Amino acid sequence: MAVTWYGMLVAPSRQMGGQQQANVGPGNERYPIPRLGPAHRGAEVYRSNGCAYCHTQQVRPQGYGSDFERGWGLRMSAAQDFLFEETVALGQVRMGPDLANVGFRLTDEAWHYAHLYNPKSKVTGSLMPQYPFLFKEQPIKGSPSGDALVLTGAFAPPTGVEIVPTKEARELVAYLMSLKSQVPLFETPLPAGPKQDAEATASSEGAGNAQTNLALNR
Amino acid sequence: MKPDRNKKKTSGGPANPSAPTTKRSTPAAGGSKRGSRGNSEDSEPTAGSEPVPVWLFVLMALMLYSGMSYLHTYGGGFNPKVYENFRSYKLVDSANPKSGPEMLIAKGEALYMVCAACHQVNGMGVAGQFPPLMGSEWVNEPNPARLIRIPLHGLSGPMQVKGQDWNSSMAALGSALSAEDIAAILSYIRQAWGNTAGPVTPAEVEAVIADTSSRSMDGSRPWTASELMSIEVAQ
Amino acid sequence: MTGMNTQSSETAAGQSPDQSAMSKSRVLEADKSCSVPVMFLLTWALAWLVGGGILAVVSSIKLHGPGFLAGSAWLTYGRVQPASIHALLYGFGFQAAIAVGLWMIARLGQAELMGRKGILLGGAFWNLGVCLGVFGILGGAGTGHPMLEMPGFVSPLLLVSYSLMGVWALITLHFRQVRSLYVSQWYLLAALFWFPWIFIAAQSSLVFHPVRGALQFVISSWYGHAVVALWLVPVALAVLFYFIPKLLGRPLHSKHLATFGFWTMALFAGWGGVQAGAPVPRWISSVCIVGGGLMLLPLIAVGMNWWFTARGAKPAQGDFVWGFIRFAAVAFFAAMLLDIGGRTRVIGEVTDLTVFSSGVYALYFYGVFGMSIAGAVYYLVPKITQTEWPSAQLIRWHYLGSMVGTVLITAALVVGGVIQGLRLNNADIAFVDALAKTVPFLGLSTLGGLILVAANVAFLLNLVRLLTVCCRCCCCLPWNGTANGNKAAAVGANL
Repeated sequence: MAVTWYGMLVAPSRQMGGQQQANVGPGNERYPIPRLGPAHRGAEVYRSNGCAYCHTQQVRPQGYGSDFERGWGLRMSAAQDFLFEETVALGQVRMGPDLANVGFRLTDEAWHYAHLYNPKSKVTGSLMPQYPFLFKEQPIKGSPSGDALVLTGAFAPPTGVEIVPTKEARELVAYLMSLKSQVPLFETPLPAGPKQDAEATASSEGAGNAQTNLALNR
Repeated sequence: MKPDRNKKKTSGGPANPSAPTTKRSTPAAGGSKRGSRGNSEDSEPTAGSEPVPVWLFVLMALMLYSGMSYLHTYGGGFNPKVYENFRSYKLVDSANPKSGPEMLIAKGEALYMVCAACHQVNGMGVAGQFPPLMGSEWVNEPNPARLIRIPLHGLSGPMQVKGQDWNSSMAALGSALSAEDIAAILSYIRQAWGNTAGPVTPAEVEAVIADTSSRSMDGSRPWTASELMSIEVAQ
Repeated sequence: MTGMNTQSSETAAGQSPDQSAMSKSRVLEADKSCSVPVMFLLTWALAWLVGGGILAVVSSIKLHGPGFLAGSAWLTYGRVQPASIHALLYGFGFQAAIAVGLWMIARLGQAELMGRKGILLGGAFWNLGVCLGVFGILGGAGTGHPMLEMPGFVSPLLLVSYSLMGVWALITLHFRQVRSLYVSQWYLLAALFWFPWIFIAAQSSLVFHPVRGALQFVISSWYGHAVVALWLVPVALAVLFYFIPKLLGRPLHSKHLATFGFWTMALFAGWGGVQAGAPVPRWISSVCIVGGGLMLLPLIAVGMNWWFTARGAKPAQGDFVWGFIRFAAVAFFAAMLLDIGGRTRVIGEVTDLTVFSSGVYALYFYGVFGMSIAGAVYYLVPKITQTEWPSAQLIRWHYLGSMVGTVLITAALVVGGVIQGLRLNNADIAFVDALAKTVPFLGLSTLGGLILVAANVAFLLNLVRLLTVCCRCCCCLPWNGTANGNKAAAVGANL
């Protein structure tokens, strides 16, 4: 029993407990960077609504599953990626796509708001539940608010009514936009081969590639 | 707590859990327990004493062995830097692009042999003769401009290192080593032995060479500490 | 714990009728002494089983019909799902296990259950704790760690009430009249110690002093694995090792084989939880794979022991308890094999991160644990209350329902999970299309959940009817007897 305890708890703690930011670039860039402000609070929204019960945040290694082919990441996830998470939400089941790099893959905030309000408005056949409680329905006073959701067709609200995101929704989207883990690390270098050219993955170049790979409903 | 605890203690010695009707079988007579059903449904279960078959222990030994060899192959040496798709730290290391500071440092480590003659392999120098590099404020200066000049043109005369006075001289290496070699050595010593300064790029060395083109690199005009200190450096 | 396998070898061939009568009366005393606390825990446990089952059905419907009850934050899938898991595991699982364990410890030791008031108090606080925990999760205060979602302030309450109950189990064990320990007692004693150990280890490093980064993932996955492997399974094994020889009316094949199985399990069961490909150093998942392989050893030892015990034997008088026990024993092998297989890299590549693992968990929980507990409850309740089950029909329904429901849920999630994994691993299939083929299986598992709830309602109904019969007979509530344990026993004896 003590052996199990040592092996499964103490040994990993000793190896990973003292982990520090890694040096990831010639200019002494540090990774990861702690989240601040709304993105930091958004992690709490993610946790309290149990998003991790359908979404993972772990890219599996190349050749193990199809995470690379689906464009979910350019390298597998590593412990380093989660260094500053208050609650590590790796997830256990993929009822929805992996979100480890959603901040690269889906950069349009308006898309996220509409998707959270009614996923079917953006992804046909989606199994994700609606989150109407993250939004506020209000009558349009004068000109519509700048942040009102753009919903068309069957999903549009009745005339004279607009739907605006609440503080929680903003924080959640800020959090989603902050989910980026493509920086190559020592322990998880970018796989060799054609992807090697995405050396500058942290730049928008790599993100652009991944995003064009990404059919919306992948 | 329980008023009748004492009473219970006196109520009997070690009781026999087996039912009166359950015929006990000796291990040798394996089949004899057949048909010996206890008819009292409240009889508590008992256990026979058949031995554990030997092959189970053999299997255990085999499985432990194969478990160990699995860990030997796929355990990555229990190294925290070895993830899936790699089997050892060496392979992870070789999969990393060898460019920039890392490669410089590796090269510098080899070239440091030149310096180790005086400053020693452990960077501690020799007391009273050669100042240490480990923890030296000259080595760890954020801007390496002064540090680069020392191996380029040499250094002589009194100086202070880590609060101690030294008075010896160092030969110039600028004509013997390329700018990249010097950058490599300096990058190495700036992160070795607990030093924490950033790497030095070959470009930085080139820039210093250009700035000091009037000074010869054959060791005829070594720097003095006060000369070095008077150089303006952006910190 | 090293003294645990000191099974006495003096099981003599004969016993004087005097001794036998004495032990019989002690057994009766032990049974009666359990009535109030055990019935209290069992009633609440079954209430949680039904309540948690309803939450589980709601969350299962949401998986294939996302619009169902989506308007409220309290009922969003990400909260209902953990709430149902926690209501079932901590509300039903722990209370039922403790109830059955207390009875078994008293019965096997032929000693009266001690500290009944303390156990009642512990049970009451436990229920309060689980209630707060489940509402905390529904209210959005979950900790974010699967299987440990209950908000931090609940866990000290749970630990204290657990100790209140566990301490009296140990004291009862200490004052046992039968000195030798039977296999079931080893497992119970081990589980009794293992739970606080894994709970404190995980809670302290996840909730109270959260460790940094992915280490949290290692610890929470390990806890999720250990609470099954080091709590649910040992308790179920204790029940099965008790009832298989008992109902077949013959001794267990070999105590040495049982010792082998127990210690190999104690050594290897805790090594698991982290799947291959997880974002942690590779050795951790490799160790979990090896741990899974080594679990074949206790599986073989337990299987041989049961097989040689049961070979050619028939249970006494078409016992309905036997049905539950037999199902649980078979489910144990199926669940272990699925579990061990799912951990390997070859199968794990497909089944990891799919509903497969939920299917295996359902088989462990409903099939192995739930069925063996149900069998034990059907046996022990008439003994301790001196009242027969009011309806044989309800038992039959419960048996059929839980059997069909468990098989349906497990098969649907395991097969659905494999299909989900295979289609997700083919990047040519868009994500939504990959999942679409799994949806019918999710529907089947909802159906299984509904059948299970119906079966468990029958179970609860029977128990409540038994309690009312029991109360009417005594002309007093059974818990009036708590004030004086002897009186409770006397009341039982008058029946």
